[in-house]
Amino acid sequence: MNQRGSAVTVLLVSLPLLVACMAVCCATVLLLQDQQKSLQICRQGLLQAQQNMLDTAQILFDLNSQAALLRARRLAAEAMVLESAGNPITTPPAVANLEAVVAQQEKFALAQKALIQKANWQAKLNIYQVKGKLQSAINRKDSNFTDHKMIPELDLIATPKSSLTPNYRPNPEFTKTQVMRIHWSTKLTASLQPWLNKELENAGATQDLQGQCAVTAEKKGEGKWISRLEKDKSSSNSFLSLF
Amino acid sequence: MKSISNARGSTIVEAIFAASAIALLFTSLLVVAYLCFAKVWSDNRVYETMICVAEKNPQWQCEQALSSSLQTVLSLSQIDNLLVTSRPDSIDVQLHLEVLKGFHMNEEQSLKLPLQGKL
Repeated sequence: MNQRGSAVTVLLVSLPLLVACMAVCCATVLLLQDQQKSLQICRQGLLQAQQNMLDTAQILFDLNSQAALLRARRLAAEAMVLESAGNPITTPPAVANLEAVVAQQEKFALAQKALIQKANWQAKLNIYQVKGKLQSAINRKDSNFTDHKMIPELDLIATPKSSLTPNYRPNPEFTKTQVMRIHWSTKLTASLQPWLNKELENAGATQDLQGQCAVTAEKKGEGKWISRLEKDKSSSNSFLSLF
Repeated sequence: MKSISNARGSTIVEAIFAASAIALLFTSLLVVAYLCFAKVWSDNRVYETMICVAEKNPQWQCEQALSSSLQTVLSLSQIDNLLVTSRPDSIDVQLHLEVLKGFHMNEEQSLKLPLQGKL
């Protein structure tokens, strides 16, 4: 009976050890899945947000030929007005023509500005949506988001600057200035099930679980801009720091 | 006296069987847990390696990060083969891992480029 007793003792002693090993395995797998899900939401959301912004910018760039045509018409109309100066017969139609061209330009300029506004608002809205999705995926009250330069505005150069309908093109530093980035952190213990939480809190595990993703714009082929993931020094390997 | 001795003998045999069965069960559970963990970890790291290459980081740097993370976390495993292929339209990673000197694990993942919101 003593031997049977010792077998039961071995079982009783090693069972908590086995359960602890299993719990650590489960906790790590849960953390990995949590982190992967958050990163996926962040990357997908930002890539889409950036692409929406770039697609609107592309429409604006495609309008450049029309803008140039309107500028040329205005120059021609102004030249006609100058030529007909002092002539009571040709001056009124020349002035009327100039006024018509200016009106066309004003309408066109409004369309250009509306597109810029739309791109910027779209980016803001999309990023807040991504943040909302992330917040509900992380589902923790103590998660923190860093908003620093999170939402860029379209960084464009207008040429000629003085014109009512300039050509818009991206700034030479467009790839750097268009970076959208979201950084978040949450308590490590907050990502776990309550029963694992207690064990880790007792073990003094209070390290923050951090995540970050960033996207930027890249010129592809014949002037078309597409979104791509930006180099991110921390997120890919941050999880390793837990071990 | 003889019946007591027989009883003790059968108890010892039972205890040996019980201990062996417990040891076998525990070892099997631990091996299964480790294999599951190795699968999840390598899966995750291979995916992050593809993202690393998609972010235009140098390929050698991404391969090195993958190797070191596997060696650090899965210290009972050995990388048999690691191949990262980067093409203009896709990134492929093939990983062959030997876990616990007897279990072979193959991990093959592919990521289509450009990403554009589809991951």
